Amino acid sequence: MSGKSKLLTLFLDRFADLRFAIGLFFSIIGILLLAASLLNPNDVVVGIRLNFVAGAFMGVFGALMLLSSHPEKH
Amino acid sequence: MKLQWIDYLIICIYFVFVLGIGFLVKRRVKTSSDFLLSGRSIPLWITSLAFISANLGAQEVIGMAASGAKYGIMTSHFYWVGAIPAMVFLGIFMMPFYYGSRARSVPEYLVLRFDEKTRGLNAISFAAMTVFSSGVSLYALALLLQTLLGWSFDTSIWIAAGIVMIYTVLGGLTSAVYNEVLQFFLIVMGIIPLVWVGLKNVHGWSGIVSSVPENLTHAWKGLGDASQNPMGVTAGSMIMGLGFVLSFGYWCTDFLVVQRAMIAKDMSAARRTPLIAAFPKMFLPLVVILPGLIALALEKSGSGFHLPLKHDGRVDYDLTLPSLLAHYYPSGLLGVGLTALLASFMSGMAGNVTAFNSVFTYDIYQAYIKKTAPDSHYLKVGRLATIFGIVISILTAYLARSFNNIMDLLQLVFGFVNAPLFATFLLGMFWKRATGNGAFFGLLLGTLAATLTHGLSVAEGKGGWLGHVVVQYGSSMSQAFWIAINAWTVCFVSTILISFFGKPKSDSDLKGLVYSLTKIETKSDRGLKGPLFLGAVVLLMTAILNFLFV
Repeated sequence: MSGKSKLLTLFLDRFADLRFAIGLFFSIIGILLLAASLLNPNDVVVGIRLNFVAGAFMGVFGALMLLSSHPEKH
Repeated sequence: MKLQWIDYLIICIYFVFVLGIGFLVKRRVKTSSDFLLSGRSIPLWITSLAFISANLGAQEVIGMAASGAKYGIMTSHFYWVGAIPAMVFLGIFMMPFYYGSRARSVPEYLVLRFDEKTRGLNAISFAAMTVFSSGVSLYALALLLQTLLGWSFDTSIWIAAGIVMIYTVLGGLTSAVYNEVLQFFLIVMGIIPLVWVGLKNVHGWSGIVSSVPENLTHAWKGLGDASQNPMGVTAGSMIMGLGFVLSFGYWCTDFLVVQRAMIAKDMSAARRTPLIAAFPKMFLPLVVILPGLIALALEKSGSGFHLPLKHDGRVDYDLTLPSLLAHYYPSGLLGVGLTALLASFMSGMAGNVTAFNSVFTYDIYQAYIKKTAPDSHYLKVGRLATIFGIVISILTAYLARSFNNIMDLLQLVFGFVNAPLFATFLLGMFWKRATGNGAFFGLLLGTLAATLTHGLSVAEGKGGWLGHVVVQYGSSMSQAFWIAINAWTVCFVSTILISFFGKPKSDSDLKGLVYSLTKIETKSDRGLKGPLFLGAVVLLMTAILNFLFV
């Protein structure tokens, strides 16, 4: 098995664990919201930088889910 | 509502993940059991979240926010009275029979306990109801996207149905369940920022209490008299109709939710599924009902926010949640909020379709069309049933668009069929003397009682079609509760009476199916993680929540 397909198999095995899929999803969304907040620092709602706070929270939640995942487990 | 590129990107990422889960789960699907029952190998945390998520469709997310604005905190009765006690009852008393009997579906339990005709009646009505519900969900999605974003009705329907079809045909029930868990987190995380910022804006719960009418901030006050509370119901009809008949009928017998517990990896996990699910469920009003009250308080406070109006000038409560998203959320988080709504619609549809394909394959096709065939044949039928279910859903969505009244009628008729069902299961599981004829004719008579109650009563201009109005109810909700109470009572009494004229099954045939002939509790059930202790904690916490908002 080549290095590339080995990496793909490893990724697929990880992704089969639901915690990995959920973690990856929220990590990406968290990063996107943080980026949106940095691009628009004046986006403040009721005194809160909503994209920043929500992005940070989702990013941390995603990272924790990723860390708790195992290959080929649910 | 205007979306930016980042909002579209978030929606696309969600679609990629949903489809990705379908493709990856497909690797594990080798038998019909893998496809239709998830091989009964799903861990407890997933079955528990899927259990509440299967019910967390768009009608719930959008409808509960609407009810929050209309009826206030009294809407929480749909959770604290109309869901939690039934979930505890299911986990402690009913799951041992569903799971222990190795029935693959709720209708299959009926054939084991009663007879073929009772199973057939339940299977056919359930199959029809689920595909129509799925179609209603699809119609509501397309209508919302058309109203909010100006998207084409046809495009919304075909894209949503296409994505649901791909991931359910590929990965079957496991794929649907996995996506329900993702959807659960998405809804909670997509709406919690709205609640937070909304509460801050209206100065917390005390700000809500000071700006909205008093009867909207109490769950129990005014329930002594139907005219003194916004729902127009009395405590008696609410507890008996919602808290007992409708709630237990839905949470304990509807295969759509019970299926999520039936795919747990063992009996202990199956019993704990609804009990663990009850913990997040009891706090869901904070996510789905509170936005309605926040919207109302915001409007009364003169902040410039207004609840959207219909063409006739009345408030369009169904747009409460979407209008709050548009009011508060900046681009980015708006994409997350909108994706949460999309996810709830699609997940509701997938839940219905995966329940439909199991009942169709096992309880209609295998029972009446082809009794014996290789497993690969039933796997193929399961996949074809999924496609068929989605096609019918699409047709239903178009039908709803053309004839909205037909959908109301269908939902009403299905309500009549469902109302007496819990009486049949209660007698089936706890009274060994109940017979197949008693169950079948009891169900029919219960449905007839529901139909007659609707035909002879009027509420908000609905019902009374038999020409002679015997009773007038204060609200449609009160009428619905009494329809359920009458249907249940007639089914319960007639099943008992008819059963006395027939010969019951022998004790050996009923072992594992009836309470008095089955050993349920084991040593491990008595500990802190056992269902009895969990159930007690759930009920205590629910009582405290009721007390806090009394």
